[in-house]
Amino acid sequence: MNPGPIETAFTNVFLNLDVLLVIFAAAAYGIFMGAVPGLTATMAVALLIPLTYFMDTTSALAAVVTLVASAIFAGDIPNTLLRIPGTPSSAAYTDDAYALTLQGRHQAALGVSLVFSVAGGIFGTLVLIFLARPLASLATSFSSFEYFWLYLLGLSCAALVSRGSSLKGALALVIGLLISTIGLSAVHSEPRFTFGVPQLLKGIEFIPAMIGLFGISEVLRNMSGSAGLGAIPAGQMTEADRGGAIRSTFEPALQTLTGRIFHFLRSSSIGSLIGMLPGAGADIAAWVSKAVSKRFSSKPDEYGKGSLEAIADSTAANNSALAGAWVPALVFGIPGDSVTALVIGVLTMHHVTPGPAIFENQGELVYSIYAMFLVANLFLLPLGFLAIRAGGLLIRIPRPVLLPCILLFCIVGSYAIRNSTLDIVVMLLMGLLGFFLERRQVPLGPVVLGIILGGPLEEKFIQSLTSSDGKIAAFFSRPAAAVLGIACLALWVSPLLLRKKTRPGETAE
Amino acid sequence: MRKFASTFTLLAAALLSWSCDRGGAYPNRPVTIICPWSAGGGTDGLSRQMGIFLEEKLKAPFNVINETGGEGVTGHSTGALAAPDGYTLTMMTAELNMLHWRRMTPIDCSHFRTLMVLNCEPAAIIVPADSPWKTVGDLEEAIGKNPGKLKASGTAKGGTWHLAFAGWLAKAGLPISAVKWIPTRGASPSLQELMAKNLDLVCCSLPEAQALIQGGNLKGLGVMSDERIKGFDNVKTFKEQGVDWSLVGWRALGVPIDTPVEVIDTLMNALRDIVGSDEFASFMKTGNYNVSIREGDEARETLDSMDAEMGKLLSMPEFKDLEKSGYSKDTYPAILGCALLLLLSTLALRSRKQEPAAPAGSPSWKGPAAVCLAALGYAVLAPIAGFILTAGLLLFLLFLFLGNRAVKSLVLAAAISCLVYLVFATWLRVDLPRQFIEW
Repeated sequence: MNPGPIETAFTNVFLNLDVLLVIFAAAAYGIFMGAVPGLTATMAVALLIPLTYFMDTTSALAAVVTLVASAIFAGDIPNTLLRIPGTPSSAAYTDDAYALTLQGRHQAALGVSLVFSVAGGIFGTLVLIFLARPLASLATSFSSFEYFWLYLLGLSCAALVSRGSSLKGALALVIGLLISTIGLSAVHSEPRFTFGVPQLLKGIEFIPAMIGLFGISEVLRNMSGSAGLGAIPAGQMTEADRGGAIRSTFEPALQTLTGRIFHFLRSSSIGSLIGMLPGAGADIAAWVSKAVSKRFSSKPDEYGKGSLEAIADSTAANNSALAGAWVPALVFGIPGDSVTALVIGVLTMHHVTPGPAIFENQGELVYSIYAMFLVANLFLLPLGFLAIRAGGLLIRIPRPVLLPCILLFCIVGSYAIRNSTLDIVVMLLMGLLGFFLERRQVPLGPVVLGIILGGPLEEKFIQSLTSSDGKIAAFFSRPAAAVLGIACLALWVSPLLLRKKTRPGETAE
Repeated sequence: MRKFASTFTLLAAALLSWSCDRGGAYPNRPVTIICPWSAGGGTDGLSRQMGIFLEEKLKAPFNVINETGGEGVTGHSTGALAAPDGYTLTMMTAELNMLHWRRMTPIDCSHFRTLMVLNCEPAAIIVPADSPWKTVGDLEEAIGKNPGKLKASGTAKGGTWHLAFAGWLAKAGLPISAVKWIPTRGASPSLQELMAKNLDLVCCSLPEAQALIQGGNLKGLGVMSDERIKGFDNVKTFKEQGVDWSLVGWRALGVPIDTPVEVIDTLMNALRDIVGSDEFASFMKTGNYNVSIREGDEARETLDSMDAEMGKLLSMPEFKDLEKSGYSKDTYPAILGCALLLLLSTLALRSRKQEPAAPAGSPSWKGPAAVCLAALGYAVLAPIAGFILTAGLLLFLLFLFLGNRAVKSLVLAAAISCLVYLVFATWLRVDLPRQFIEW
């Protein structure tokens, strides 16, 4: 790396008022889009694309980079305050974050989210800067076998770390996977479980499902009278606010960060690695990181019941995964997720062809992208803080006013994804499902991940079976696949072995 | 409280007067462009850009909606069955020529009035750069020597690129099953598998593999078109290599067949201006779209001849068998079903052994029932009464149900529903149902 392009790139970004303004505006827009359930980062970027054609390349990319980073963080706001994950990558720690809100500690929860999002984002950028090229070749060595195991690993983590027994976690997972089989499958394009309803051919969209499972089920629970209808207890609110807004938001976060530097590095590395694989992303990263975190935690019992550690480790992973997704996109033109697919479109519009040569031909641009990631994350700190303050007003609204508004937002959010009234019905059904599952202490996170990854899992499974002529041994024949496969199996077998040792304590579940 | 009520009346009156202007020539309200494929792909990019051009020309919003799923069935059916008023355009793709032959939908080209074919993408065969094959002939020989051994992909089974490949095999006198086709979601995942050495070749369009070809990772063996593709001048056509086979995928804008002539004329004039512009040319060049403008009879002929070609291919007995072979659609749900039964029975056994869980308190069913009624009521009422009225009513009733006072409920309901409409419909361009009150 010669200093020439890096220097110009950094001055292009840091000392260019236009670019800084674009980043500021995109961060505000991203926070809004991420905070409203049903509006996703992908949608935000898609709406922005037509505008980017009229910007110069640096500004256009700055807008996209910032938008995504801020939207993923902002998803934590409704996740914490209303128990509706703003984006699927927040679903890994919904239970923890909302439990803290009920204890009146939402400031602490969101402060940890914000600080670890920013720190994770910066870590991910550093990985992008130093390791993009060597790691990109790793990403392309993943075939359908490796992906099959990776998806299964992500799903297993979700089932095993959720609140309650791992059996119930597995049940939730299978329910989610079964829901994902509705519609035409990508492999066979034959209708399954559609009952002759043409709109069901598209399958169950995960956004309405997620809004229903978490948001509507919480509205139902509140309205069923088993939870009080008042606002959050006022005494706890003032206690949280007493130390000043900035202190009560950032103090717990900084304490968590200084005490857990090693854990943070581990979580962010997991995030970067998983984010880099095309087709895996921030949501898998968050779950895997949480599982690893719980496995090595001194307080694993708190996970799912309001653990700041769980939030910190998952959110660091999902934000560091974002920068990772740019590695295969820049180096091979293979998009890691739907956002980077749109990014490749923006790049070609601006006469930039992604590919291994991009580092030689467009070095300056690549370094600008790195610089943008850094600036975007730094902007996120103050803007995110303001968003947390604004969001905090939400829970002061008395529930008799708030609940109908949440219902309306859930309806509009579900509808907005593809303008389908059926999605509103899907959302309601999922809400009822979530309501009943919760009463039986079945966790909801694995259901959501099951719905999201069910299709890709089936696809890779059938692809692998087809290419190996149905031989199961082939699933372990490639070295990387064997490692992932054994890790995955070990994950399921180890709790059984551990349980035998600690059988007397088992009834504690 | 009086004040609130009078403010509300004023607000409502203002809204009503705002919304009355529904007359005027086409287009006087937002137009939807249906893209049958997901955001970020080539079809999506073209749809969005055409939306921008049309919006500029016709001075009305053109919004792109990704109606994905079912290999294009969903988007094409929605577009064909939309009201024929010019307010729903469809970015049709080559799959329209195949879906009806595979009996996945009754919809075909005859359900659309094709406005203009914009772009044609010839299929190409792409292999790793270090592959021993130099020409299409080398590959043909290799396939002939190892029938059933080589693995290829590019799209799902029966997708455009699969048909292009199968058509070539048939032309070369090889059985379609001579190469194992691994079903994937499209060019990107196929190229990923090719890079990971889990495939031997990929059949897709050249621009889709541009980065990897220019980076020296992959190379094009041949392209199935009459002429070489701009930007890929060293990839020879099949014809040059002595194989008479060509197959192109196309993208075209269309409207439902019964759309009135005046509307079609307006659209056609706008489209002719657009495709003649420098902006269009430069967009197509930078976006790697192979421009191929055809309208009227010429467009219809292109689509019909492609349809006939597809019909010939898809009615080959071998192809029918191929569709049935492999793992059935029920394999995966069956495995999941077994897992579900196993888990439920284990849980049932366990709960019998343990003491029963503490009862969570019997819930009141009134509240949840109200929520269900409200959501279902919205789903039924919104298309008839429009978003603002329905949402306002929903909020008002629920506020009352939860014990708020009537005036407060009314004012809040009106303000919130208008605000939500403003944010979602006006700023974010979500196509919320518009009736009676709109702007």
